[in-house]
Amino acid sequence: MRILNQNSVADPSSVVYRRCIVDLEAGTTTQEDVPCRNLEDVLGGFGRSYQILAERKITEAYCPENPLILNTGLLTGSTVMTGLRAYFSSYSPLKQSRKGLPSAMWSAGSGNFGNKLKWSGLDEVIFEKRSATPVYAVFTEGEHGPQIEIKPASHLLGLTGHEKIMALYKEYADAHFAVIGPAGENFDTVYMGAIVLSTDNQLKSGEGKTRFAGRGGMGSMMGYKNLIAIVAQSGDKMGRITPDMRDVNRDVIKNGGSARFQPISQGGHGGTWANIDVLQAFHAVPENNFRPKGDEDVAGLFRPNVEKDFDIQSEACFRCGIRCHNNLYHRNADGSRGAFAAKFDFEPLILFGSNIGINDSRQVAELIHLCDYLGMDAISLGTTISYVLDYNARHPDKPLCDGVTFGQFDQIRELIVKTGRGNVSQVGRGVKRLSEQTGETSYAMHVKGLELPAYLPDTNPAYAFAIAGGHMSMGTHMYLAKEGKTGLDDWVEVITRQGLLQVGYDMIGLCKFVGVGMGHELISRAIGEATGLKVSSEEIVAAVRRAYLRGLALERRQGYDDDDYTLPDQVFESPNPKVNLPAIVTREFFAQMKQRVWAVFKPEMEGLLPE
Amino acid sequence: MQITVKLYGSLCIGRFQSAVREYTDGSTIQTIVTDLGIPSEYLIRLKNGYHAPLEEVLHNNDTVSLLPMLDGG
Repeated sequence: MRILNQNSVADPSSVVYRRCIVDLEAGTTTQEDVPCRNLEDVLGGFGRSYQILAERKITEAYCPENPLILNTGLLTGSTVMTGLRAYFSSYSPLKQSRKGLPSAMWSAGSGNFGNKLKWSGLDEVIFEKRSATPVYAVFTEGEHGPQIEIKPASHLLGLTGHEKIMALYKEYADAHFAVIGPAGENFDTVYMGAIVLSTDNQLKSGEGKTRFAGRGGMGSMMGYKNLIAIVAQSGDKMGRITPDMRDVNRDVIKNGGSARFQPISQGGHGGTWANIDVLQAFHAVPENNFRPKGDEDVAGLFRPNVEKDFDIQSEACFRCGIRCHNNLYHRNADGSRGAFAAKFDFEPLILFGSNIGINDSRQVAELIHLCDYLGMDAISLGTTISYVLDYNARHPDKPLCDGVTFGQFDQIRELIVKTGRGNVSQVGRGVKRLSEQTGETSYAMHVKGLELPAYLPDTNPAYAFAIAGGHMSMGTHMYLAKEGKTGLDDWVEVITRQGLLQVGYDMIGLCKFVGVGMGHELISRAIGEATGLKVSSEEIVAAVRRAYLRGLALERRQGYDDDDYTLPDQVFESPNPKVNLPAIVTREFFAQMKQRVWAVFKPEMEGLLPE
Repeated sequence: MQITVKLYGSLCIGRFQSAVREYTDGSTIQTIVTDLGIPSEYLIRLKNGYHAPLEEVLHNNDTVSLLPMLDGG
């Protein structure tokens, strides 16, 4: 990216980014410098990719005209802490309107892949059409700019995501990788394929410590395009950390927002895992398909209990000071640390644990590990499986998937393997389609075709306004538990002012665990120090808001009407008395909330899409 | 007066899970937070099961629950 003038707001075209277009059908590549059209383009990520997607009329995800866009954010590859993000955008095979049209979608991932791509000289790659044979793309830093090669990839087929990465690493020592697992290869029966991203920790240790761009089936899109892997190769170009940047990074680590995610030994709460303690205090931890039982069964997944079976290490991403994630290791007979078992974050822990009736951490770790290796989105897979188990509990006489039900570890394990290998399309195509086949949609836990994360819809009516996944694109999933706010005014305000700004992190290249809002001066300072651009907090917020609203407008263009903006019927029809939080989500409340939110949003959505 | 204090997650470490403690009349949730050495930022506070502000005045036999405020996924 070249910055010709520091006033990117008044003259966004003075910021020029480098794009590569890969025609997978022809096997050709072209590169161009593209001037930014607006601040959303400058900030990057989905703020830029959605403007490209909006220029295309796509009626089915698996078609040659649907591009897969790989890009980075303004701060990816910079010295700002957490600046690691790579983004994948496309019309999703999974997320779909009731009219049957695919929705635009993005998914973000960390690791060191985004940095390497940017350091190779590219800010964006658009993969067009599809290859007739399996290929992988190599982007290398060349003497006169980025070099691109498209190479045969048949030798990688069938390998897990981790195995593909390690195989490629033998050939490309100074590189990082984005690959698909078997799930993405079986894109026709698996719409929830994830993109698996390599990490330094993984490459050094040989252990499967990958990251994922999981949501919306971007890995399945790669599979459709016969693009099995992407290699980004360059030297380490992390710039010198200036004294002012050191201050920015100190504030990233020290601000209370990020400090919460630090290990307990550092005064934090121990990563997102700690959410389980908080939500269990309200009996709001999802159990048995998002239906808490009001008991203490989930205690088996509390950290002190898991520590009895595993050695737990808090670890961080590449050069990040926020050690937010907890890697579990088996313990050897002599008490020493053994092999890597799994990464325990709140989402997979619950969705492969209490929400499918399993509270034994060893079993949960194995299921998480399997999902990761096969390259599926843990949220979509876990939530679809919990529906199958729920359905079978209700219909023992005509069950799905050989009658597997809650708590049956061996059968669930087998179901995950079969799904990841492309043999169970009922599960692999997600819960919306499955529930429409069975005719029982009320307890299918999705909104707008995308499976819900491990926060109860009973406590978050704002899921309806998330544009790319329930908690990643609308920051209200803990609002009721955290604030206890039940008023209509409160919810309209939080959706239309704060919640939507969550998506800003998926533009600028930083991780959400920086823990401050987009309007915080820290974001503006970070941009200024890393790039020299002078962008005020108000201008950042306005650009993020436009990008979010463009996403909402794009949903409407893809056939989403008012009926799509809803929650699973069970939430309205059968409030769960076991949840110790106010039951705010009535049909009346929800209808009024929607009406008032649309009244704010709709006028602002005018003119955000091309004619 | 006697207040039942319940702590959750990492807040229990080095403290307790549940205890009945003596406080003087007029004490608030902030009094307890300060007494226990817990940072008052990013804290969920409940009085008798309902969300309450730090300055909420307590009465004999109230229960105060303190939870770490997290986020993310």
